[in-house]
Amino acid sequence: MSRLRRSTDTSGSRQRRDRTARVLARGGAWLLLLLLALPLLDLLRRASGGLEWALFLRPDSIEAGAAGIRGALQASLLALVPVILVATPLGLAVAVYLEEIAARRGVAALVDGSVRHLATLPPVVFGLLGFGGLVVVLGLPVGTPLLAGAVLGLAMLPRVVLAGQFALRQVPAFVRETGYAMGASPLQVVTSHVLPRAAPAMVGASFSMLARALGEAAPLLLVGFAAFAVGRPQAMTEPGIPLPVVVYQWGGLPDPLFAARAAAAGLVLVVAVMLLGVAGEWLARRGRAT
Amino acid sequence: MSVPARGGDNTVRMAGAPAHADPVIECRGLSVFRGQDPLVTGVEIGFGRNEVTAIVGAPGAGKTALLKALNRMMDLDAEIRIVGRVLLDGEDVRAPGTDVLALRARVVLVPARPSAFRQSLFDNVAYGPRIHGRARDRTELEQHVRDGLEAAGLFNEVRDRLTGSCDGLTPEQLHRLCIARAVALDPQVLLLEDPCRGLDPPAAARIEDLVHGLAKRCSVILTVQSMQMAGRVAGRIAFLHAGRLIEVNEADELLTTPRHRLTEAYVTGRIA
Repeated sequence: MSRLRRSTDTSGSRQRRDRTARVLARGGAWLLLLLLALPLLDLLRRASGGLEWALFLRPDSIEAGAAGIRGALQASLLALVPVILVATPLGLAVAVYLEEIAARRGVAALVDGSVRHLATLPPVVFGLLGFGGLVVVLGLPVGTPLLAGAVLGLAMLPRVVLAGQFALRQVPAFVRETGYAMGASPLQVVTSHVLPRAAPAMVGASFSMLARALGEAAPLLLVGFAAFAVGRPQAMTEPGIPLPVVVYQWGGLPDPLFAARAAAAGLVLVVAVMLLGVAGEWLARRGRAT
Repeated sequence: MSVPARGGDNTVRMAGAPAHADPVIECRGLSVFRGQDPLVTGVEIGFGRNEVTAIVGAPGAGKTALLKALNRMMDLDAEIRIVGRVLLDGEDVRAPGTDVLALRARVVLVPARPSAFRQSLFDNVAYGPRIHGRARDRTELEQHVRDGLEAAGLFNEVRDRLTGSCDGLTPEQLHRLCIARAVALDPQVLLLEDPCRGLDPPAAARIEDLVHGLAKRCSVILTVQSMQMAGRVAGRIAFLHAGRLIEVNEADELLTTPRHRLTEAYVTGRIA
């Protein structure tokens, strides 16, 4: 037998360990997939009794048979407006300031540290903060998409900053150096060289934050969204309960049809969140490719 | 002025001729520190006009720190502290009130890693003249771009695709593009950080020829690890070792009759 084909004891045991590790890793991946698929399949099973086209056309109701998610969907979409128009650009601007412009000392260091700590807080805490700041102090109307958007924006802001900082750190240092070497100012370097490279990751992160905001119920429950709203909000200040809160409310009702409706609404929420995540990933990849 | 320093002791004393009759840039007692660690210590050197000077040394010798201190690129690193003076035409570039952006347009650095901006070829080369307001109209801008590309020997290769992206450029063309972008600014001094890094020998040889020709337009200061390459491309060589300037001299003289034992050891390949 050729010396190359005859395995020694050492190489044989290394290859066995390698095979075992590979089998374990593959098994772990399948187990994870199963753990994710099982609840989704269960949700599909439970939603089958409550999922019908009319669900998307009707507003909420105290009658399970007449209850729909039209108003909740509108409230959720309206609540995303402050997140898209205020929290996301503000968060990304803070990220650019902290990463590219400010020196890492003084106020900037304080903001940087605070953002990192705030991003680790569970969203429910922002409900508590939001109640004090947004309802008591600023007097935003309770039970409206405006308040929901403000609370969600507050909860997402530190995460957007962190995601923006992460995206900016992925831009290699030589890109900045090339700009500075030509005599560009820090602002010119950021706008002409750094942001175009960081943009795909920033867009992806922003969509991921929107998906989180869309699916968030906990902070909203603490700012007065436990109430019932029949209408379909046409404006930011009209009463409207976002979809995750409606799912939570219906899930707690004794009527089995409401349980099926809650599962159906939950499924809609899962699909919407996943679509946003996939859209963000697609845009990020497309941006990286061009 | 020369201080022969060959001998058995380990002291590092400058050899050769650091002073230059009419230097475009001069370092006086220049030291660069990262925190408490010295990267460059007490460098005294003058760089001649329309001359190619190579700063040679092993990795970590302080070549890049010295090169980037000349146009204050080292200022971008908050941990860097600089002591001493750098004079450009007799003016201290570190003096309070110095317009650093204008300085970097006069003393332009081409970093070691070539990088094209995510713009068209034309816009890449036009970038400097645009941001520094060097062109009053499109015709002038096109002239700057053409000048830069011709100086870098790239014009004929890319003249038909100027509005296209830089994606298809070979590594050598990318190096040339970066040089063209810098030259389009019509700099007084061109700083080239290891201009042939990562290129195959034929491409490196063509870049060396190009660098030689650039001295007609401006003063060129480059860093390079290889003493042989420095000898091919530069009229004058400054040898750095462990942050100290060991010897400066005409390239031929330094290569054939090094005055300091460290230079001799480096030239003969006994230290690297």
